[in-house]
Amino acid sequence: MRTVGPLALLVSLFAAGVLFAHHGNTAYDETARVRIKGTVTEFIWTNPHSQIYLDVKDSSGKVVNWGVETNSPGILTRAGWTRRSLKAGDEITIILCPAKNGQPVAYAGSGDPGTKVIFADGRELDFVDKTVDKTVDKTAP
Amino acid sequence: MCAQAQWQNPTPGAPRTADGKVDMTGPVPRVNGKPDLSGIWQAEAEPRGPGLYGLGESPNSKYFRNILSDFKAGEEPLTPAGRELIRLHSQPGVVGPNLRCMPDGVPHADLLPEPFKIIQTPGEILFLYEVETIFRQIFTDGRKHPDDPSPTWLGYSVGKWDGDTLVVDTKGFNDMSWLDARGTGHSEDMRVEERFHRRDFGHLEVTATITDPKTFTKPFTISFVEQLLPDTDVFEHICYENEKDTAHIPGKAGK
Repeated sequence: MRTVGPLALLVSLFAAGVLFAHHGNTAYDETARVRIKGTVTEFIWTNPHSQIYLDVKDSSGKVVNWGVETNSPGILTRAGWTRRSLKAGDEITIILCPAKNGQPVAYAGSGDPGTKVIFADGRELDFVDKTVDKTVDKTAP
Repeated sequence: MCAQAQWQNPTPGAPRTADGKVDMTGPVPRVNGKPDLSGIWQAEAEPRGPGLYGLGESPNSKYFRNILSDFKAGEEPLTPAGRELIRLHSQPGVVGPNLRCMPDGVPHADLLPEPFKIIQTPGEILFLYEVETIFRQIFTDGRKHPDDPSPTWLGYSVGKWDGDTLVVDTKGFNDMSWLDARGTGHSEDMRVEERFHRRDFGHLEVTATITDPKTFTKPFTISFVEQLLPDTDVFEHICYENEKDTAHIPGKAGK
């Protein structure tokens, strides 16, 4: 999320099925929050950004595999995640920022408040740094 | 989720309140008569930048986005060469070095939304940055800068104490890092003076003065606060392990 890149290029690559967006979140609509529900197919715990893939049924009943970009393992770890937090077969809902071009790619992570994963049993995983939450900071606003 | 999450490693020696939480306003630890700056630090988001992220404000320090954000538009102390660098860095297809898995520079690396660890030893102070898993050595053994340092991303740093404030003088930079996410550049002549003052257990006040006559018409200073991240660690972050941008981005990053 650091530098504006060429949207046209991003659009063409997303259309080609290539998921990439390292820091540059201009491909995503960060003013929007969309809720999708599906079955995890893969959770890739990696730098610079981890990836969640899940199968989602669209309105016509067709299954589409979504790719959701999220934070680095370091940020996720301080938010309480581990590499085993998600696994193939998990039924989850994700609140995310969708791609501007309508492709089934999205972002959910610490830069966008309100994005999170909700499990079928109601348990939630968000991207908020829990180390800071553990402090008593009398000087914080 | 794992009940014993791996980041829950208590910070040794931290002052704690009755409920076990780290007391961020507790006393500053001292070693050899000086404040001990050791700890894991991350820049506070305040004051935040304007709505880069869509919800009205950025989750990052305003200096992360624009190191000249204290100046009104049009009044920034940029030389023609400094303006030209920003123009070049703003062209379509040109992205900052970190999007190509190259390092951040000084002081931008201290303003990231990811932490760094300070380890204070008698003769040098080490900064271990999580992003890119890079390190910085600040020599406090009394040495001077080399006469002709090789240009590097993080420069050559010597430090000395001014009372309870660590003063770090850094030069010998290459000209490849960006001073902020929007693309403010600098030359190899840049010199950065940072002053680090740990005001209490949980807060490290920083001022950074940037001098680079080729890029800026006058020196300027930014001030920000690093917040201690308690009971955690810094983690490995090797960007190239799954980097997917490079093949798709035209042009040469950082130039």
